Amino acid sequence: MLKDVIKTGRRVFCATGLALVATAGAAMADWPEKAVTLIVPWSAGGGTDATARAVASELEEAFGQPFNVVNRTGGGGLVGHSAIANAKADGYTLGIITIESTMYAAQGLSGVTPDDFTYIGRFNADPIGINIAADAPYGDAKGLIGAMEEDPMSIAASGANRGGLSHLAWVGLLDKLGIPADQVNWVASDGSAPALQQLASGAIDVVSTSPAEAQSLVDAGEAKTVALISSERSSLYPDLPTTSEIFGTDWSPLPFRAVAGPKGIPDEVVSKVEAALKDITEDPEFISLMSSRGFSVAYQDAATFEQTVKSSAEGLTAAMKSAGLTQ
Amino acid sequence: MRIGDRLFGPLLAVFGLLVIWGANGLPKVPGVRFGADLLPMGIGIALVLFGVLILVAGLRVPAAFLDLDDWQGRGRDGFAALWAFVGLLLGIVLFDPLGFPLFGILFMAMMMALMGARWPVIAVVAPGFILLLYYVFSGLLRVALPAGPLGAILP
Amino acid sequence: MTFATLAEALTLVFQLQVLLAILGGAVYGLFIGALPGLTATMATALLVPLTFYMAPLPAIALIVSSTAMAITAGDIPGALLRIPGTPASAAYTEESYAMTRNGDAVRALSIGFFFSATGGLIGALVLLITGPALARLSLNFSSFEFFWLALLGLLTCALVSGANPVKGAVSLAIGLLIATVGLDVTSGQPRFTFGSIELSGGISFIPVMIGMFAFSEILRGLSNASTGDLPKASAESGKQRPYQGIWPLLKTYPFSLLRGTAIGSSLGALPGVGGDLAAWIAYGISARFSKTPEKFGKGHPEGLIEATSANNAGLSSAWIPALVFGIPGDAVTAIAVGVLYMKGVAPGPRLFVENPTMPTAIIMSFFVANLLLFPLGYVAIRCARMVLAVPRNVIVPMILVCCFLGSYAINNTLFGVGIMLVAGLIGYVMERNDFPIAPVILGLVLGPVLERNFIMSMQISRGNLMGFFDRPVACVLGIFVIGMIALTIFNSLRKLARSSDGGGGGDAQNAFKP
Repeated sequence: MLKDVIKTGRRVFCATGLALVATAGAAMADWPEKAVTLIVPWSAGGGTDATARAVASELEEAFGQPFNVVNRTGGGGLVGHSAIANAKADGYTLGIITIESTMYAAQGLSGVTPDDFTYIGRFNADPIGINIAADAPYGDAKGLIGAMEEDPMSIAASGANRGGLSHLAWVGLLDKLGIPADQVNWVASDGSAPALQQLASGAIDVVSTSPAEAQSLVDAGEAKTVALISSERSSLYPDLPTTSEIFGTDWSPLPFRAVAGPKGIPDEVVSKVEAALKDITEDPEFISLMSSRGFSVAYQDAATFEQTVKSSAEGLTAAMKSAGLTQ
Repeated sequence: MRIGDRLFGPLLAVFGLLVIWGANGLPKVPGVRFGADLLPMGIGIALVLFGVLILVAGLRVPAAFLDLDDWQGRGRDGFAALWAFVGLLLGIVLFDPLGFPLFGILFMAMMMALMGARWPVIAVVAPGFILLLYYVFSGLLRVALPAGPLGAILP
Repeated sequence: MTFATLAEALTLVFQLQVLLAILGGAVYGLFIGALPGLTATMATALLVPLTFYMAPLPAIALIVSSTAMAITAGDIPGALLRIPGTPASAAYTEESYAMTRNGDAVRALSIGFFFSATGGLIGALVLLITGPALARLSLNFSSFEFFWLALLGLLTCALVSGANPVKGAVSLAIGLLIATVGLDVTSGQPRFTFGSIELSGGISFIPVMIGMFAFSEILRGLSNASTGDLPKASAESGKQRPYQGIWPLLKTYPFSLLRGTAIGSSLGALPGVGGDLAAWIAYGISARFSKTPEKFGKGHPEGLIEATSANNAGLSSAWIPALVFGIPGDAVTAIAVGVLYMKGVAPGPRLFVENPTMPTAIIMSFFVANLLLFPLGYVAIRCARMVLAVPRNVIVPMILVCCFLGSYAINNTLFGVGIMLVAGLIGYVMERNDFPIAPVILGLVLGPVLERNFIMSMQISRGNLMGFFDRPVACVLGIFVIGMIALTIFNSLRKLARSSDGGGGGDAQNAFKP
């Protein structure tokens, strides 16, 4: 731990030195000189909150100032994302953003667009899985889709609110397989926990959510994860096939968790946090902490991540249009 | 403010109609029979119904239409109640520029004065209580409270 | 579970490190819970970074004891200042505050702490024996069953709304209406938000509770509407020791305690619904089957005993679905599940088979934490009594600042303060016109549960209302709830008929009296 702190400290020191030269003694030279607020758009106890608190405590070690996690919840993340986007751009309010930030505009929800953020770096990305009841008559993904082709309305699926990523991932996949969205029985739920309860009680048939969330039910023999809606296998679940392998579809909505700030925060803050985040994601302790909850660590620097956001926004918007989810 | 049932009933019924109207304008989702408009619609209908019931009950009992004597003759207490609301409303605007310590002390001193506390008590209690809360929240509980201009001199 | 497991779990819990964690968590929870407007969720979330550096059991014990304590201590501002700490405690805030107004603050707090702790102890004991079986049972509950339970919760409204059921129903409707504001899950579109992003997040119940209960009470105290002054410690109450007079209560109302605990333990195990609902249903049932229902709401201990014991009993059962199936019922257990994962203890049925000591030890920590409630409660009550000795012109400004801060801190936004002020004004006007406040909070809490589970069920059964009777458990629940509704309507009709025979319809208000 101490070694990491020193390592991080050295990196930060170098970054500070560079920044000092670059900005020639600007007021921000010794950021952070007070506590930094880290806004999380999802509620305490969720996966995003857990990872955010882990990142915050590591950032705190790296910079020697408190990083206070503040949950601004509600509106399917809209409230928190808009609070990040509209915060004072002085570098003392940052936030953890998720893939939903790229979807609001297309859904007709005003307040947040992908252009409203300064992207700092991604630290996690995990695909969504298809989970079914363990005793379902169709044993695998192929059987499930076969049953859907016979009577789409007979299969009730859940995992999030209407228009949530979980919904989009499911109907997007079905759309590629020729089953139109208006024939899909989507049971809108408030997040994955109530949906999994419904699955376990036998009321619904499919929950599309990350395999990590369903893990305990899978262990209990109540559910099984049959596929990842992705084009690449996950390093944490190497045995799970992907929908691209099974069906040859090209549909890979990849939910991310990343650090961002409002548009126009000082470049120096971006480079400092970006460097610190890179160190954090290389810290074995952080990696094992993340994998213990079933989260993989997937770092991307500011520039790469911005590209990822732009392309994923385009892909999702297109998918939402074809699924009839746009306003 | 006491509103007689003969006035309250119709007001409630009109409010219920507004809710029904609002629920009617909610977006429908194809393929969903019971959607976002179901509960608001039910509430609106219930409110109209209750409004009528209250009106009917009110017609049977003679009572004042409207009675506004809540603060009549309360003197200083009336101003205290007014400040309790207006002061905190101002707080929404002044919280960030003034910071919690300064706003809190000003609000509390004014409130105490309006309720008849003596100045020595105010001078001790208002800053003491506010600073205690400030340190507990921002230090111990890590709720970020704006420090404002006093932040420069506070440790 | 074998005795070997129990003994092993005991040695695990009775390590200095674990006991220190429990004690530390309890003191911390007491402190947070006693501050008006701060929640158990916040208390838990703040502990997470600390648990990074702890062994698994102390980490969980810390969370367990701090939440148990924070939720119980949340009843202190409820009883003294009429600021309920959790939506569950709003069920009986009126009762304990009425007791305080009668000069019995120490009694109200003693009942709160004593019966919370006792309920918690019995609840933990029940869990120790039935844990995994209860979890298996709770997993059979789908949206169909949850809908019936939510409806049962709404029925308790008739029992908490006092003299005038129509006005109580209006309050409930207003609560339900407030709950509809925000981004709607079914359509993914905003509802009644008037273009405001803040409103699209919905209206959280903490500012509404603070405004409607505490702020409106202050306005009332300053106006001609006040029936008296703010509560003061009466002369006898000043001499009363904490827990004095509890024993006779225990002898008078043993059934209330046991029934409350049973309701809490069973409902608490239902993820996402149980915790908030248990205290309401317990209070309602207590009033329904009481020999003296007319005393309820005026400082009567019976309902208070039943509701507080249900509250703490439900607290421990909420962990069962989380531990056995990884389905957390609320934010607190969600955080705890996260901590368990980080400590390499994956929740799931395998945990009970492969490593039964761990879940047993967690339930044991509940036991110890609830035992600690007795001495810590004693200290807390002694300190709390001093609050009542503070002169009015000092305590009222202090409460106002706490109202402001509490509604700000819940989401770190001044929007919450605005909600609190508006709710305060509405609450004031409502109470001035004899509309009860508690049903508003009930509607606010149950609204989403009721609506989402109804709509989910209808989506599953494709619009067929008979779906609510298709599943065996749902069918039984449905018949029970419909029976209760019929009974309530029948009773009020009978009274209506009787009162119009006798009174000749002179006073319409009386017609609605139970």
